[in-house]
Amino acid sequence: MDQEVNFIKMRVLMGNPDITDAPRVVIGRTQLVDALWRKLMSGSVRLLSERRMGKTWALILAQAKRPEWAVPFFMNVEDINNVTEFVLKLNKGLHRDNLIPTTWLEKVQDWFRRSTQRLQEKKIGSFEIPKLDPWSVLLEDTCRKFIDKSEGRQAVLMIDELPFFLDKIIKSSGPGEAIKILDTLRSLRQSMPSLRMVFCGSLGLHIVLQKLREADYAGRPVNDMLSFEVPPLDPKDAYYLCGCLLHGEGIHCSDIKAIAEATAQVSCGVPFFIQSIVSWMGSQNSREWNREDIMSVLNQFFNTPEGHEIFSYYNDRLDVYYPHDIVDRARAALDVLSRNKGGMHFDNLLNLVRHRPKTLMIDSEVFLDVMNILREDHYVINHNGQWSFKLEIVRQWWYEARGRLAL
Amino acid sequence: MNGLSVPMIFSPQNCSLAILDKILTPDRRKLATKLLEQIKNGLNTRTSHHNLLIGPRGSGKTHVLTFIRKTLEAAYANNDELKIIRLSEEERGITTLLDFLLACFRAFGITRQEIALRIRDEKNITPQEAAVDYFDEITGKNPTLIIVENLAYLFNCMEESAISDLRGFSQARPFVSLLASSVSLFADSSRTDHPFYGFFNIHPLQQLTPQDARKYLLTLAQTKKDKNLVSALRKTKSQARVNAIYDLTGGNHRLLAMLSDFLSADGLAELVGPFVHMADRELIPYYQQRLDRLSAQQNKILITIADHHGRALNVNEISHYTFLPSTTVSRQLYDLLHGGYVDRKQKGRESFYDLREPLLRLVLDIKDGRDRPLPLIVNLLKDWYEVRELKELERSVPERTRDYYLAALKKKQFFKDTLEAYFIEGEVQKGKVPEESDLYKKAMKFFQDKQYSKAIQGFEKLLREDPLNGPVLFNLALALQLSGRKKESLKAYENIIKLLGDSKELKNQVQVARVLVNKGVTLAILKRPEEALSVYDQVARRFGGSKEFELQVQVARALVNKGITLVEFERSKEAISVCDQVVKRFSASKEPELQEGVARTLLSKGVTLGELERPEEEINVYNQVVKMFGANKEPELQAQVARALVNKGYRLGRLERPEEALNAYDKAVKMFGANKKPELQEGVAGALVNKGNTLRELERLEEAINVYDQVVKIFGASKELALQEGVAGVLINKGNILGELEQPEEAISVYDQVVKMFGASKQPDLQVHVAGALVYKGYTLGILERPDEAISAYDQVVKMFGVSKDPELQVRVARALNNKGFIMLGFENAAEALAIFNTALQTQPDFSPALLGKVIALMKNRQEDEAIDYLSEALEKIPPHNEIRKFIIFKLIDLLIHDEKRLRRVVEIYQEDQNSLIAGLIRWVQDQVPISKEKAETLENTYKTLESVFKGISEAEPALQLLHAARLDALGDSKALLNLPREMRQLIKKNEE
Repeated sequence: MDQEVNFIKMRVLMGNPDITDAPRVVIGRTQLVDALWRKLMSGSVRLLSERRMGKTWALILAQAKRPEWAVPFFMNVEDINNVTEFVLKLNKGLHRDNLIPTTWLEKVQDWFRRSTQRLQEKKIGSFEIPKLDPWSVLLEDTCRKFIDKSEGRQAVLMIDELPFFLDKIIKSSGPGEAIKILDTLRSLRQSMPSLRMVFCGSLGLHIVLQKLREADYAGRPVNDMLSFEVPPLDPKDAYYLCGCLLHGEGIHCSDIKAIAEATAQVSCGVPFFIQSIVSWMGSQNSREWNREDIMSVLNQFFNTPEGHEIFSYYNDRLDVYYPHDIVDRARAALDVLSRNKGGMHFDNLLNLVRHRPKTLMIDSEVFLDVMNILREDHYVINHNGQWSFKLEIVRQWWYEARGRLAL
Repeated sequence: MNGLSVPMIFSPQNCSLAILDKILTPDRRKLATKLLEQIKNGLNTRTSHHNLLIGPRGSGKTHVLTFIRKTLEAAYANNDELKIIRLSEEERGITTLLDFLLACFRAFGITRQEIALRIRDEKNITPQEAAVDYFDEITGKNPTLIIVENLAYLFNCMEESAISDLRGFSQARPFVSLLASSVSLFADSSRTDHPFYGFFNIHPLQQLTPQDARKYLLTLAQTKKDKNLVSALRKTKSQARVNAIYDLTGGNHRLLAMLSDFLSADGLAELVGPFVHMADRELIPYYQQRLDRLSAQQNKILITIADHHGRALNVNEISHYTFLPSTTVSRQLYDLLHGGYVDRKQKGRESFYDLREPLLRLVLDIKDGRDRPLPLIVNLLKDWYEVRELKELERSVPERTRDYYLAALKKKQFFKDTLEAYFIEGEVQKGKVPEESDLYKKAMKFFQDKQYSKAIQGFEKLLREDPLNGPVLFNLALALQLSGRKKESLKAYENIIKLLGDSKELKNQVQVARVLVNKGVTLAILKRPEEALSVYDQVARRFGGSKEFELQVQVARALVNKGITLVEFERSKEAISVCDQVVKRFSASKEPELQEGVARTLLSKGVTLGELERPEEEINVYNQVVKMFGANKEPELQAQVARALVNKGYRLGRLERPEEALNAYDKAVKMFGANKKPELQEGVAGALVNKGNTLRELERLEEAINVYDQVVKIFGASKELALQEGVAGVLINKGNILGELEQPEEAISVYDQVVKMFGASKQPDLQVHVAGALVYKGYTLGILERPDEAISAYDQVVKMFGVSKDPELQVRVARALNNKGFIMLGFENAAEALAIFNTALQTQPDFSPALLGKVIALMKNRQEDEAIDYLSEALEKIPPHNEIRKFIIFKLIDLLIHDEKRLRRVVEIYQEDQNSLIAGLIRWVQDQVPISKEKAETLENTYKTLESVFKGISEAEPALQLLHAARLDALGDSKALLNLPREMRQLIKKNEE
């Protein structure tokens, strides 16, 4: 980096920042957030990109930098187990932010109580006539209250980890309930022009939709939402973030600018990897780092418990979220691709995948589907007909972990 | 042998190009065309292409290779533009590149003498180098295609260095292309440092489908000009026969071709003899050759799988039967799988293995002379012939093969004809239904008593003895459904539909309609509403036009169920439209079954209208039910009328028209109160309970108690869970009213009655009432200042339900613990109270009263700092605007009023909930009045503390002013209070009163 930059001191922060701190600690996302708000003027948005890219941080910054015309509300639904909890948590959150009236929250709480425990004075055997409103009606009314409180501004409901929540619902209650949630959210977007939604999550929504399609769901519940990709940090911003963290963590560097540049490069500009690598460097007995160390730092980092945990996720999640018949094929494709830094043509890739007995019989159409799923899931990209890993750091890990083996 | 010839194995090498062309299947043709184009283009661009076809034996590899070779030979017959070298299919003894080249020379037509002369004569170079030079010489470095079959076998015979030499040879000769085939990938194919990794373009050959197999055999027959076979294959029913041989061959082209001659057999040709003969003559040598190539362990594994008659085995099972370690079995299975001997089926994470070609089982059976009649042939016969044909053959065939036909007949009858016969033939009802059988009676009794698992066992036993028994089959499906084994019942229903689906017989059609309706219900229960709706539509579409009453009933049921499903899955508007359809279609009918459908539909419509917030229309619908069916004496219809009245009363109550609601309930009781039928009793109970609740809301408490007593009197002895729950509920309501009427002793006795009546129940819904009654009892005893007895009631709750996982019971246990904790606080036993609150919070971590209790207990236990630290955590869990937030701050002000530092911390923690903070402060101020003169003097410092702590919180000022004024008032300044707004003065006055 040629430009003169003064690094400020920043500490590694692994959790999420507070909204008020976000403008200070979220580096390199201001333009992205401006673009997100511009997009939200036109419609609801699906945030795309793989895990660890900093989607949640971007949403927190977006709240901090909300424009006058918008009233955002952010909720993380990762720990929610069912749809009634979802409605209740949404209401509690909205109320906490003074975005719905207290009377409404009380009504919702009453509804929640009744839905989870039958009140004795109302219990009349099978003649329980006082039927509760379905949650969908309550959700609709909640959104209306939110819109009312937004007083002419655009109400923006940001739901983090939605696919994870839906996946949990599919596993616990079957696909029907998840379909209902998606359809309800869609119909709310359709019927309420003053409401915008932002969906976000580390598990790709396409994986959930794939599972629903297997259950014969033909709907397209997010085709009204604009997609918005959160890319890695721009090299300049990644460099700045690295410099600030190295400075803040007090890491001995022979030349902090060179080390920052190298760290930004090996971590591919992914904020989480930057934080993890700097954090690990800080734990290495106050040694002094030089540029060459950093360029070979990955192999060491991959073998640490922390590095292993971070990256083995890319392999382990295939078993958890991919249909059984796709797992082997996806893994074979990634194994082969990891051996080729520059990428491969589809035919070559398929041919080498067929060199493995387990995937010998794979049909080209089926394999194309597998590659497209991997692409949607941000493992790979297809650039000018060449398929390759999206992130070089992930390719390197995959190669070290699997690609070099004859599996 | 009835003129049947024994077919010969198909050999592509011996076929002309024209024939090969004709019988190429579409996907193989596509591949051959692609490869031919590639080779031809390579001639122009002088580039080489290496291709490897992989597929099991008999999958058409040789066919494709031969077709390509012959096409190229025809195209380049008269020029040297392309040289073709075809190694023999069974090349043996190739261990080096030299051996490979020698085989090429032989294939090229050069005699051994010439080769020896040419290679041995070279000086200063090795024979292999000489052979390489000779290869270049004879090809003239012109484009050359080398065709190699069984590549994996070839590589297996070569050392890796020899394979590297071969790769190096090919690499250095861009004019040489390899076209190879193999039954499996060569060893270590995925190893990146294998010399041939990435060298070949690999083309796996996919298996034929049964439909493709029929087309393939038709083409084959046309080519051979076998008119009989062509004509047989063109018949619709030939697909069944093709399927039969497809199942035997696993889709293997070569075996299909071999067995295709059987397809031309005349209607009643005896098959067993020729089939066994063919197996003896052709199959045994064919498989023998293959089995000889396998190791002893692999043979052992194959025989073990064959012994299980088509049941796939997993590694552990194979290991168990072969006494081989499972690691060995896994390794051998891997080779068998890739050698095309076994198939692998994945179930979850487990793999199951079966013979790839069932014919191999036949060969093994024949060789071992076991299990006659041979099961594979019996199955073939079953699929081949109709029942009538089997019966005829069984009478006419020679003695030695008769067993086969008899076995096939039995098997076929089990699967289809007998079941069909039951529904068609009335005699089954009279003769075969085991009405007199004890087992049947017992099973039906279990069924009626809802002991479904025992009923299922009974039905299954009956079916083992008599698989023809239709009612048993249907009842079994129903019992599976009712016992929650829905997926199994779905399968059972589907089987019955499959068997009877196309029948035109009324009885069968009715049965199909019934089964479809049940299937729809099952699907809806399995939360697959779209499929359920589609099944109901199927019933309406298929039988809707029928005038037959029994079918109309099923159509009505399907439509009613459709409406209910739509309501259940919240598609209200569609539901209403379906309801209207049912009413329009069947309301004029006088048949009770149809009338019941109409009544149910109307009720369902009413509920839906209620959900859509169209209450007036809802009430009109209920009125319509009462009007249409009120005078009807059918119990099911009366039950619908009762439900309509109860629903109407409820809706009127919600519309704040309680008197009309009471009328509706009274009407239901009047109409059906004397009726003892269970379905009506539930309606009457519902009406009475709702009436009692309505009276309670109107504060006509005595009347409410009377109605509750009536419920207990009428239904107290009932064994129906729903009614028992109603009784427990009204008793608790009665106890609560008695408490409100300040008759605590009577209330306690009512709570005791609940415990006495239902304390022994194992039903969670009743246990919740029992726990609730005990908690209320403890609370009432607390009010009566009988804390020991109260504690005993709370302890009883913990003892009875403390280990329960039921969430509702856990709430009650937490409540009991919490109340006990507060009693302990009253006893100034803060340490024990703290332990109790902690236990309550373990049960219900967010239980607000216990969170409050823990804060107070910590405070009283002299752990003030811990209490304040814990306060933040507690407030996180207590919902906003919960009264407990106000109560905590009220208590903390009281406890810390002389500890300014800590009180300041508490107020800081409450900064984000100023509403509760101020409310708590006001409550504390209220609690100080009336203020005596002495107290007023001491309050001066207190006031100063509060003023300092609440400094900067403007909302606190009025409360502090109030305290200040009240203090001055107590000290004799009569105007101090008058200076305050009236509303504030009222706050104090109310308390003083």
